[in-house]
Amino acid sequence: MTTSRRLIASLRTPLGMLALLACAALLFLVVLGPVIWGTSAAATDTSKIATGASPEHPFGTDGSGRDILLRTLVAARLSVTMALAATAVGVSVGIVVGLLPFILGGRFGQWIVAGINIGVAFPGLLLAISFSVILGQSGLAATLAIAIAMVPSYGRLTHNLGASVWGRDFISAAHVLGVPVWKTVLRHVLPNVRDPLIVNAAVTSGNALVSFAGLSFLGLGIQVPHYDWGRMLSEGMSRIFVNPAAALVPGIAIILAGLTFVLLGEVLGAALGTGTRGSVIAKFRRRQKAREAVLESPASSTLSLSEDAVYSVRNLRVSASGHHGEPNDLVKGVSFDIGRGEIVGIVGESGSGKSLTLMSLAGLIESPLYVSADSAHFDGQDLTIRADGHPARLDRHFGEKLAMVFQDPMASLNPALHVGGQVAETGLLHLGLSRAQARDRAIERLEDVRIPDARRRYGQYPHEFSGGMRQRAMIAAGLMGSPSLILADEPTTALDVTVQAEILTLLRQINADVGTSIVFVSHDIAVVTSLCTRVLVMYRGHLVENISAEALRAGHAEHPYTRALLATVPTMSTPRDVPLPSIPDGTDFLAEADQQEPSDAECAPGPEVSSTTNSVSGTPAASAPIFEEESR
Amino acid sequence: MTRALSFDSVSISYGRGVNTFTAVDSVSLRLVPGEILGLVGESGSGKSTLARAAVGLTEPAAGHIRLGDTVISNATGTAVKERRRIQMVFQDPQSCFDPRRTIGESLDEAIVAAHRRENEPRPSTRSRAARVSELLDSVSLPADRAASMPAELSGGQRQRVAVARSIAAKPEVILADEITSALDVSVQGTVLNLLRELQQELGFSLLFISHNLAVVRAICERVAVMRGGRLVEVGETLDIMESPKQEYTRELIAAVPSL
Repeated sequence: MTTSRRLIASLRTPLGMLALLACAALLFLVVLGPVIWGTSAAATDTSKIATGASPEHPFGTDGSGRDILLRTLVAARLSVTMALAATAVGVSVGIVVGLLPFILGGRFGQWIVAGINIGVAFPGLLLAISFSVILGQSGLAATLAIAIAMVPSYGRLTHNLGASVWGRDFISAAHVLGVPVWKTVLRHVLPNVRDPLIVNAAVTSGNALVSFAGLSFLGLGIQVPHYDWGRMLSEGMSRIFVNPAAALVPGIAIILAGLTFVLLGEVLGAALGTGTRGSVIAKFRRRQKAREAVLESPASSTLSLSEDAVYSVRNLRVSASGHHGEPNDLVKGVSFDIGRGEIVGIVGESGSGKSLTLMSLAGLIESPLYVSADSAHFDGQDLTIRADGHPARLDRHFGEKLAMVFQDPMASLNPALHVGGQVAETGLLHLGLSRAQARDRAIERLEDVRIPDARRRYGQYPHEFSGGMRQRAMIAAGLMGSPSLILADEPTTALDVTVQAEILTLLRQINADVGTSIVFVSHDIAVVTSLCTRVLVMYRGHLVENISAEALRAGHAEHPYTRALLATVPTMSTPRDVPLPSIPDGTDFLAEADQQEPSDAECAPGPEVSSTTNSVSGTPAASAPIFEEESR
Repeated sequence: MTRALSFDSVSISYGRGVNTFTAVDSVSLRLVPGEILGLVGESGSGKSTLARAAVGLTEPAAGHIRLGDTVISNATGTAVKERRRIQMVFQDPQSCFDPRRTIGESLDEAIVAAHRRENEPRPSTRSRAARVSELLDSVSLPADRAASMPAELSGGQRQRVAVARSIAAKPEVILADEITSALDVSVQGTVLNLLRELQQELGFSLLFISHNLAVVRAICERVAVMRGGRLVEVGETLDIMESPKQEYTRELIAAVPSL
């Protein structure tokens, strides 16, 4: 969705409507307020000095007999424009200051950053008051003072946001091309940090309004004969017991205007994607749609399930709701069994649905995606919807019977905790072990995955482990129980090839020693073929091939995609000096397979596939949401 | 005219005092004009750091980097311009384009930068647009892709545009840093074939950094092996693959999967 579309969408929410309305009202007051009520607000009524509410003056009059309400309405222009001017100046200077260190670099840059840090240490209002005193008592001086007080925090914000962009490759590419640094900053850094700054500036305008009122209240801001809300507040305060409205009405105006800016910030934040995206209501609607879709399906079909399967699913679908609410399937009905003691590889390119399939096996798919299947069984237990209508939870299988290994071991280990404690945690949470028992078993498991000097390593932090060792520790954590299945999502992709070989050996050994089944997802068909006993090939959400690794190696792949994929893997016997084989853009293997052999995509059993059902595209039948995300 | 890129006992370190970490330890390596040299090694072996030093993204603590006879390390003045004759293609196709600028704008920036380097007048908008189409065509992408945002392109297509961007700078040397490791194997061939074709056509030399020995073997004439910041082996690709002298090289070769 484009930004303008998102802006319209967020303006159409109740919050957006309110913000729009409030902004329109404020704008009206600022532009037309003094024009319409200017003269009548200035009219003094000497017969009614400092009176309370009356039909003529609904909120009474001030010390010169002028109408409080009209004066409040007229004061909007000065209050709001001063606040906006201060914000504009403060934010602009802050952005320049925050970007300068990138342009100057070196020592000058460091000095500026240090200056910003010192500035941030002082409270903003304190800075505003001090500068206001120094600059003198006038509206302009107060505007400048408030702007100056904003500079450090905006400098810091801009610099922090910029620093995260500065490390990216497109900045390096600009350097290498010789683009001048100031151009790089204006062209590549500023647009990429713009959104959070805009949202913050909207909220800051509200703060500036309040600060301004504060300064005027102290007598530092606007001076007579001009008046703003703060000035009126200060005048009204002295008579608060005589006519409370004299102080309360401008006070309420300040609050309402401040709220308007905060609301505007919220709406902009939603539109620019800096806040939380997707309202709770939208999520609820999507879920409801998913349930309705399930209920509309015909009655459930019975499919024979093989006895010795650890995991079996029929017609597994992972869907996202599309633009207009209709489900958009990302995994389009796959069915397979994972036999006991098998190592099954799921291979496919990015976007083929292989990781989604694995994540749905683990019950880790979260909204806005949802999972459905005709049936799903893990270790003999039905995982589909229970009799009471609630989806069965898979959580309790974790740690005990099901282990998961992720791609990035640095992300799956908490950097602030000892590795050993994180391995032992499974024992404490799921197996009911005591702390000492869990520790002993964790050390044992770390030794099992061949981490040298496991007792000492137990107390180390993740950053003290190498990538390969971290992945071993994750596997050790999975082995704390006696899992019947390990789900591994690209566990070696982030590792060096030599380390990858070690992890593969370890997985093979666990499989041989304990008989644990493994599902291994990878984009690398060569790795999968060397490790696994059976290979599932996924292509655009379909399971196109289900073949034993042996048959695959022997060249018995049936689907044209599998054959093409195999052909693209470079090996030590790939001919040199000729173009490498590749799959050109826009090749549609599903259409190709249909043309070649109509039954190809329907059923592609490997010649020697054992004990497993090979129905590739499941029979169209009822889908029950399985282990759909519950509110966690 | 292509000149040789040479590293003379280059050392690069990070940090100060006790925390000094030497990423590259007196490496001497020469990239012969017009050749494809493979640079292999595990992560942390210093191969990317060496390449980043050649384009000025980091500077060596000791030693010199030369393009022909010009010293381009710790460069000032005209040497900085010379250094732009070396271009780099990065690993991550997600991060190598500004997400807020179209593909055409990114290529245009490279074209303008190349003209500025030569002190030539800035070409007209029309001729720059024509050059953008030409560059896209050279990497087998339709000209209308110029209006696309990076997010609308696949990883393989983005990597091809990254190659086009480096070509726009009329380079003598291109450093390709693991350019296919984030891509699917099915599109890896497309990107590499293209790079090789362009190399033959335009005659730049290519430093091909990779950890995939099978790919290196397929496209490189010579191979250099780095480990722990040191250069452990350099030689003809087939010699090294058939009779590696270093244990580490042997491990790398053994790690190549066979089907």
